[in-house]
Amino acid sequence: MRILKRIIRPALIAAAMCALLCQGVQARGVDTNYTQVNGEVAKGARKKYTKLRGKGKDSVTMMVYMLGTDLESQSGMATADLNEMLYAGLDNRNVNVVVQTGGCRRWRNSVISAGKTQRWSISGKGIGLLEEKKTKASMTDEDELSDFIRYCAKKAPADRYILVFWDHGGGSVSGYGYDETHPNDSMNLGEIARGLKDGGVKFDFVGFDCCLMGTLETAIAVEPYADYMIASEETEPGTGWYYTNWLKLLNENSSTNTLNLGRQICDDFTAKNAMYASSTGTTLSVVDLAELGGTVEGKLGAFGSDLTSQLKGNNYQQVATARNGSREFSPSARLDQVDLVDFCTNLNTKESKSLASAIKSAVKYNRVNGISNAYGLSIYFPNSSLKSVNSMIQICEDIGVDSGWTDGIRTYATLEQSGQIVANQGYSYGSGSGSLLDILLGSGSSGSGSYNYTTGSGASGGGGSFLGSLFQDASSGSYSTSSDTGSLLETLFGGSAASTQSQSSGSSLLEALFGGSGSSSQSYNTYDSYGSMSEQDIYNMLMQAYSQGSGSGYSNAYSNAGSYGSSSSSLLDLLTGGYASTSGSYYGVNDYSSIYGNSGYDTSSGSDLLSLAAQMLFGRAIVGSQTLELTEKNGRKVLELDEDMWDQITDVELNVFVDDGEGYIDLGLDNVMQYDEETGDLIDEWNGTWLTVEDRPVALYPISDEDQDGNGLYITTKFTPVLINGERMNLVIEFNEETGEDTVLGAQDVTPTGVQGKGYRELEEGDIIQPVCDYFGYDGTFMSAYELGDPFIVPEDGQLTVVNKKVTGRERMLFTARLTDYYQASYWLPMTEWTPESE
Amino acid sequence: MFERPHSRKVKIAEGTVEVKKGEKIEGGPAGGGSDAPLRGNEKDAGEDEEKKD
Repeated sequence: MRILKRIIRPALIAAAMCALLCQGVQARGVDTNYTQVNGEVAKGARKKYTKLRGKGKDSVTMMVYMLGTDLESQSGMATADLNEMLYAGLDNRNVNVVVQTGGCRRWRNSVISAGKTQRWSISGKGIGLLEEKKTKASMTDEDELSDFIRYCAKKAPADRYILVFWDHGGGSVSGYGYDETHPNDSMNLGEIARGLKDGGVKFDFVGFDCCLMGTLETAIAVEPYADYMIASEETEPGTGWYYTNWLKLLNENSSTNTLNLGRQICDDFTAKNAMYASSTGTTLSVVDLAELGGTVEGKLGAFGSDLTSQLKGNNYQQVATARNGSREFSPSARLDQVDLVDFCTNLNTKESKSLASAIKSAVKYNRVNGISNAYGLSIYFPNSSLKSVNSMIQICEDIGVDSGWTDGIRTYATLEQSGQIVANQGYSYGSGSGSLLDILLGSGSSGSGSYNYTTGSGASGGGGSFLGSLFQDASSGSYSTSSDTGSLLETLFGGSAASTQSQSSGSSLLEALFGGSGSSSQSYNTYDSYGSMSEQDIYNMLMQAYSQGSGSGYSNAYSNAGSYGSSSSSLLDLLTGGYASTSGSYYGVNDYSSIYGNSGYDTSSGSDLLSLAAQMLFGRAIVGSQTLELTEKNGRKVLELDEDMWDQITDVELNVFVDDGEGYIDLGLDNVMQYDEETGDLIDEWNGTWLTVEDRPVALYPISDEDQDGNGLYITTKFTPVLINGERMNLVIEFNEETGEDTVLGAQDVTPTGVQGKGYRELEEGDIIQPVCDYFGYDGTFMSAYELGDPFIVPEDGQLTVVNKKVTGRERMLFTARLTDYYQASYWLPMTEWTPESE
Repeated sequence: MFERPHSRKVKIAEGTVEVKKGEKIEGGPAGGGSDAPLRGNEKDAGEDEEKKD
């Protein structure tokens, strides 16, 4: 019997599993652990492809598509799982296990070759080579997958087929797999579906022993080819599934009910990883795809259509609030996957409740550990990042997701992007500017963009732009938005009006709006400030620009001919549909019907679109620099907002920069700002401390901040960029108010394809950890990442001290607060220089 | 009682540490604190495709 080198001890694991299962695992919030399998099948489910003969008469071929990648080359995790399969002691002639290995630079056993793609038979007698290719095939190529499936079906035809994908996973956006020998690619859901189709096999179940693949989109992609799916909503620890026990079950009775096999897989996975990776929460569920195909997909379309109606009916805030409050998976990766049932529950509409009910029924078994509100299937819903909207919609179309749903997420993304543009996020008017309303009225900030304004003493206003805020301050100590700063007319028409402003560019907002070249001799009406403006006023301003533009050679209001900053798109394009990227391309160029469908907005004229823009501007909590002006109360500088404005703010974070004489070290963002207990005002102060790990200051960035129990005690996670033994990784730090402990959970890979490393890499004694930071020049441009201070060495017990300490810089230190609203638009308060007195 | 975004409870220890930069690191922004689209991504924020060249 050939046993691979790295051996784990099944007996020990089994004992520990029993103990853990008996104890149960405490979850925060709604505990979605199933205590028993749901064996009922809802009406409308299709018939199962696989019909078991029963009584152990079924022949079974299990295919394992094993991309070893760094999981094996660095940690031997594939070898460990192959050993788990070997320890099942398979001796049932009806059960065949075939494994394809590849995608790995180095196998940590003496049998498998890294230079070849190999196919193996696994049994109680050992591992035997069936076939090998001398070339290293790309295992993220769907043709390789289909070739493997066809090979297995021909070599070992069976009554019952099982397929397990083994590797990293990146969810619905990035798909499955990272091949170390063919980097920069993964197998997306459309490719997985094509690979399964070309394989020509209908599976009893398809499993994903990888991160984040427990999504509804994955289920829809796999449904035509399998009866069940077993996958995880959350990232998986590197140790992954435990194979011994369920293969034993199959070996004892090849007709073992699929749900019982699934239960064993989920239970063992949960227990194993609770033991080996206690700091990592886990999820794993069994989904009945035959039922899902018949009951869920139609409801998803109806849900999406209702979502679109709500969004067009000015209910963005309700949808955004429901989205922000939903269980999100791997938030640090910004994949935007949320638990679908939790999201539906939060929305609480007729359609969402109907969909949630169908999902709950189709999920036949669900196990979680340390994660609440995870009901078994997640879904892509854009929020923190819009860069994947286009590719995700394309994938949805490839795999046949109901267009009602894609219309829904497209509309949401459009509104979110439009909302960000209104706040000047994700779009650059020049290289730094205030909000759209700032531009319209000639106020706001601009560092070095095409729209400049005077600097000097006076009331300091914050800006929509960090750059404007920081670097105006940096160059002159303060900056102002004086009452005679550039106005709508200048901005709209690009001319020089009677003001102290100058415009370094001839481009006007009119050009920006319509993408053409403007005139500088237009007439206009003026407004003094937006505080006195109504929504109708704003609409009139925009319409005036539109009308003037149309009358002066802007024959095509949707023309893309003009140049606006670095993009060739007009602002109107972007305001209404440019959600996709900052590189100038976006879905459905100039085709607004593709964004809003054929109803709801008049795409033949700009009036409806301008109404939407006016509505967005008027309804925002923070519309420009005037909103962020600080006031002084009781000797303290504070930000005062109305309660309805605060309702729109989701995050407030301290942002600290250290001037080292050559530029700015960015220490990142920490949610430590304080509020006045009596007034609720945000206090614009910093106590001069920052987070240190092992006595070294570290840059810090947010991952998540949750109060799942609603008891006011939060679990906050953040990451800090580091080099670990020279390799770029992120340390993940948890600030746990439930336990009072602040802990480094481990390290996460920074992978190039979007697929997620499994779980956290544990730190080992002697690891050399060098903190890393981002560094900006005085003009606000990103220079490079740099080492931050000196490295430290992980001590013997692996525990790192996490605590705030006073920090000093070579020159001065600056701080500001970043406010983020539910459009994911961010605003920075005016930058303040820290002095000991400002504590 | 006002409902405001959560601020974590900070533990502060005695002592002072200096913030200084060391050697340059290749590979793009590490955190991207000033530019949300860059945070947590080693690739350029302007790139539309997440995974493919």
